[in-house]
Amino acid sequence: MNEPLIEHAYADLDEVKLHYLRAGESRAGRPAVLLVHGWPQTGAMWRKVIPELARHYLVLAPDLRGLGDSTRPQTGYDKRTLANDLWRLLRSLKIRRCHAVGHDWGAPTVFALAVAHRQAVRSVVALDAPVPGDGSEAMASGRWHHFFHHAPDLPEALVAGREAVYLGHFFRHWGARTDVFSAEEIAEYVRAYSRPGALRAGFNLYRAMAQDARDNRRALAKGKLKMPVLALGGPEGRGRGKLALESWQRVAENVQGGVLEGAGHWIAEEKPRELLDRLLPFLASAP
Amino acid sequence: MSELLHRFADLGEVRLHFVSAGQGDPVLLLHGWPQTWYEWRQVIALLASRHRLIAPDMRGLGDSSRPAAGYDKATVASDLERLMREVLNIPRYHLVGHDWGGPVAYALAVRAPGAVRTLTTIDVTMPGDGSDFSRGGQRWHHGLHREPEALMERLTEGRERLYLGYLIRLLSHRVHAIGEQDLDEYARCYAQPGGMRAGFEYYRAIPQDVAANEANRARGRLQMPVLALGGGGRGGRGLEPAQSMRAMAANVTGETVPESGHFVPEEQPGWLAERLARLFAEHRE
Repeated sequence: MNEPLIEHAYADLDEVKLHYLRAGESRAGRPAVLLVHGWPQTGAMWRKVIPELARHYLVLAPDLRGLGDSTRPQTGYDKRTLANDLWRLLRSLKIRRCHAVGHDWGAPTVFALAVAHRQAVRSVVALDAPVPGDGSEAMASGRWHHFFHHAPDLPEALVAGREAVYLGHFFRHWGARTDVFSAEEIAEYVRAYSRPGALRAGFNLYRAMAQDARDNRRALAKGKLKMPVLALGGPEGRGRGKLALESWQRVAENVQGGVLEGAGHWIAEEKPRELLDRLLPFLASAP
Repeated sequence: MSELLHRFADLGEVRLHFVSAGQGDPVLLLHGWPQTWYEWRQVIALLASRHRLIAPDMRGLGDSSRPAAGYDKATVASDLERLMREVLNIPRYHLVGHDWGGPVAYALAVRAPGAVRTLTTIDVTMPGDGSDFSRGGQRWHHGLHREPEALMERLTEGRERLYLGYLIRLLSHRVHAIGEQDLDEYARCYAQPGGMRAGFEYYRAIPQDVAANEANRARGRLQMPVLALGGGGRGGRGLEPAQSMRAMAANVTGETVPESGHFVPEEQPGWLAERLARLFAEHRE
């Protein structure tokens, strides 16, 4: 059987031009799945799960505003704005409803999309990330890099020209093993984050966290999410473990999940087969 | 102004550089990170007419040598205890520690309680005081400095002045108190081979320090008079140091230093010298 083709596509949304990966036929009635990456990654992080998902779905894996091969506006790194970029991408493709999957900062972005468009998001899958403003300190607690990235200008000054050292450290130490990524895979992310402005855009994801928490608390005052949610954390390395499920249970009514055995933080790249085994039945059962 | 005498003490495993000045009741001044003995220069000048002041560069830092290991605070304190007893023959002294110098001073007071007349800690809390020393990651430089595989050595190589200068400014209330030339002196020391490594090792030893201090606390609290100061301005820790020391010592006075951030000896040298002189006068031999 042929692997479905993964195409590079672009959406010009005025303020930002998004690059996205697209796979699977877009024939009428075929459901869409949106895959949203986190830091320090790009849409390429979904490469191991896209082919199988594309047999059943139209798959879209964008690079978030400022990251990968998308453009880098000066502002708008709060997750509400990032989610609005994704909403406009969907509209530009005439997609009215979709499943939304997010990893790391992609998960709070998916939350912002789902809470703003409660009817359009059929289901949510959150990988190894809690939700800021969930009523706990889970997002940043115990994680020094959240506070370091929040410091103005300093992380850019220390990491510029040494992207491979810094990003490589996360790729080596946040997974279940230090050899989750090949040198080529790391080089691809380092390339993406070595471009002018990419480090700043990535750190801005963290700098917007207080606003994200405020936005989310305000949105949750209108009620928790009602669509089905699958929340999985990596129990190994510096993965979030059960924290992911616990956080999403505070912001959504219909939540399942737990931990994905053997995975650290990089679930979709460490355990793609096991992830698909959880993902496919979940998506198939969602309304 | 009293003359500063620079000397070296060869303790075998480590060679300590230390500065001494003045005459009178002896005082041992312990610096913190990212600093050296030099942070005491103004306090020394103000106290030298009444006191004999000893300001060493702690193991690995300043112009002292940089052993591969031994950065837990009990070991660092043992260097200083030997300096005072074996090299200088000073049996009793007042002890003052800023930043990491504070936990080192505490470890020294635990090790040689009879030698320490008074203990002053400045803008620092104690590992193992029952709270989370790194405040859930909010003191982000703790976690960053502790990362394995020399992450921070690699990120700061050639950028020492940039990094130290950023942190000093971040935690200062009077941001001009530590000037460009002062920063040059700190950067000169930390940019030497192994200088950054040795500094980060103070943070990598935190788990050891926590375990040692929990055991120390279980054996009882320090009995000598303790003054715990915190910067009362932006960048300072306010009354946190006092709260922390109350877990470690029975007789603690806690105060905040007005218009000062973290770098009290340089942001408020006059206030500090006056306060220390008063404390030392109350506890004369």
